[in-house]
Amino acid sequence: MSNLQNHVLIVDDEYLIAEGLRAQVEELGMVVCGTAATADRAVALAQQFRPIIVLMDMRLQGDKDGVDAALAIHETVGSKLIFITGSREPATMARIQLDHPSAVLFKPISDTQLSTAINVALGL
Amino acid sequence: MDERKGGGPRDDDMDRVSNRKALPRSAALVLIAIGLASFALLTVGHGDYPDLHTILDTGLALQLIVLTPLLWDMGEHGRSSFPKWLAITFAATSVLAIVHVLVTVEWSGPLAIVARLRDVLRPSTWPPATHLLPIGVGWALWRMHRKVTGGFLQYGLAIVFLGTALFAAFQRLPTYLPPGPLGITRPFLILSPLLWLGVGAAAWRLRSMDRLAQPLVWMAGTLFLANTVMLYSRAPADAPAMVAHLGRMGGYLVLLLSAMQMASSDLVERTRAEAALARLNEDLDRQVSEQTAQLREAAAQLSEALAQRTSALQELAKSEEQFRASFEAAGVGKALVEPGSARILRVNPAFAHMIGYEPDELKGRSAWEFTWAEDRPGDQAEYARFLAGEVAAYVREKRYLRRDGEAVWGRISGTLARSPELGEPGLMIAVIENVDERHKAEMALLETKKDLEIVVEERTAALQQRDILLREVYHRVKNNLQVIDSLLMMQAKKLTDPDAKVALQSLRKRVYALGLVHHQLMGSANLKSFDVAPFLKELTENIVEGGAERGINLSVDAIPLDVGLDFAVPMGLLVTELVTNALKHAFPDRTGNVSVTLQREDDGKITLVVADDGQGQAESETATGQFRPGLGAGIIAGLVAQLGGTMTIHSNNGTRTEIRVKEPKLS
Repeated sequence: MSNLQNHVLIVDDEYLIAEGLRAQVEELGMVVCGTAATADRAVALAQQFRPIIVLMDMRLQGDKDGVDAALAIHETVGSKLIFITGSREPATMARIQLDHPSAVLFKPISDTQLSTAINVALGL
Repeated sequence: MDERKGGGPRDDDMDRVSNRKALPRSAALVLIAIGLASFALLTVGHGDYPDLHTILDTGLALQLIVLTPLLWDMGEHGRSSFPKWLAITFAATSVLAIVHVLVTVEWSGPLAIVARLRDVLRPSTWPPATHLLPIGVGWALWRMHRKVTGGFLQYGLAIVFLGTALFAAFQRLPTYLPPGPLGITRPFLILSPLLWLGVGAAAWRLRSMDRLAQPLVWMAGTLFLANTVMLYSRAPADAPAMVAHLGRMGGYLVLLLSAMQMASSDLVERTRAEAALARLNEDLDRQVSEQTAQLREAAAQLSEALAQRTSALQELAKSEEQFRASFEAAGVGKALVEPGSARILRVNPAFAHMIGYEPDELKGRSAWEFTWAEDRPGDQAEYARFLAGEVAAYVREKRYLRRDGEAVWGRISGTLARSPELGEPGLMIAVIENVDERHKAEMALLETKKDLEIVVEERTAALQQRDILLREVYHRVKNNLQVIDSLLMMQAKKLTDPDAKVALQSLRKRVYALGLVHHQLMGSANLKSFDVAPFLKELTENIVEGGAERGINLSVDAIPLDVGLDFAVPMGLLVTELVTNALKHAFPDRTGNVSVTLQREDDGKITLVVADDGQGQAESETATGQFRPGLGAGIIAGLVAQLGGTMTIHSNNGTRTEIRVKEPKLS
């Protein structure tokens, strides 16, 4: 954990949502190290910046989804994962639980919900 | 008896001979008396006893006459030849003895010639007789020994010839001579005692072959002695001659008495045998009468049994008739089948017509011929289990092959009738119900059901498809709301005017309310409605916490109420506006209580109350019943109207807003 940076990686295939999340994170006083629209890009950025927190959308561009990316990041980097999803489908929820996420948030996400989830993930 | 004839010694004869070995007591006494008399005569001297001579000759002749028929009768009764041969010999001897006696009579007239022949005949009739008898007896013994039977004529002729020859021979031989060797005065009679010695020995050896042989031994012994003494006679009537006569008499008596005793014991035995026979007859009679009685009883029982059987047969015929009637006239199909071969013995018209035949056409054919080919293996397997006793009854719903090749459904119920004697299944009685109509109806129903299931499946698939589409739509709506929220946030960051920033934050709260409605819908089972209570709680908590006022105490109390999109969206927005207003205006010192309640009134209407214990609104606003003019107030009024409700606001130690609306109707 010591070698993780106090950064946040945002993974969402929709630009505006990613930017909204960046604004929300920056409001909380944290640095966003990047945004990714695909699982591969997310993994690459995570390995490059080693963020302490990754905000992960379930639906991503390409074949792989957020759980694939989360598993790879968790394995290689060890970042805390906060899932952000629009779905409440049981199948999706079961897949998310594979990665022992720190939190699962449902869109739309209020500032309060996001800050609470990040504080829990950081152990504050 | 016949097979024993001449076949050697008989068992019963042997018994008799062995039983009477001893000389009869009378004969023994006679012999003793004769012995004593002879002894007396010989001690006196030669003397002359012409009268005694005549008496003894007469006695001897009479004895021979008696013995002859007696012996013949014995042969006749005993079916034996030996006594008869003896009788013939005795007859011939008796003729000589009679002549010997008769010549002593003082004949006169024409018979005087006999008297004149006296001197010739008298001395010449003794010697032939004394030789003829031992020779005849010896020959008879020899014949018996050789197991010869019959031949009486030739035997008799031979004896007569021998007698004549002897008579002729002794006419020429001299009678008395001076004493020769051993003092013998009559040497020409020397052969006689020797002959008797031989006969005695032969009779002794053959004593087991005839019961007469035993007394013959005694007779031969006596005559041997008598004829020996005779050798010393010097005159016709001297003492030796008399002793010889007495000896002959004793010898004949031994035979006579023995024969008589035999005759009397035969009589006793015959009487005993007759008595035994009579007893046997009685027993036989009794047995016959007993058996007759038994037979009569048996006959009575038989006729009784026959009567019962007849009545049973009549009963049987009656029940048979009843069975036939119920069998033939039954509306339901009936069949009698031979269990092992499944051969049809008899069917009634109902069954025959069911498969398009007449009853007689089915008789003798296999039941499997009329079973639908595809059903046969299953039916036969079940039938085998039934025959093995694994199932009590053969019950099947099966297809029969009708004459026109069509299938007809029947329900067969078969049971076995076991024959009481063998315990073997003798007959299967089957009842066959025509269930074709019912079965076809069931089949049709089954088809319909299948069709329905397909429709239901299709519908279910369509519904699932709809659900997937709806979720997708809700998802996209939420996503879009998130995009809008992001845009608002990005815009807010660019603004510097605080009022403008607050306005955008208000917009974000309204967007959040809309997103939360869709989130609830996505989680509901029918994707159309959800419980409003947890929705209100989450919504208001988010507003209060978003205000970052830590001193505000929120309480939410809502009844469970199923609501749809049409109700939930305005309700959510109303609560958002009212709670936001309360937070914004009621608590300058940032502490206080806010409560949100949702209740059902007695008249069925739903009442939403949002209350605070803050400063309340400006007097002027409450007086008019209006909120401060602004976007929020307009929205509240519009949404209340949209829900068809009424609103009242009370300001007394805080503000209490009551909104009454009709109960939401789910489409």
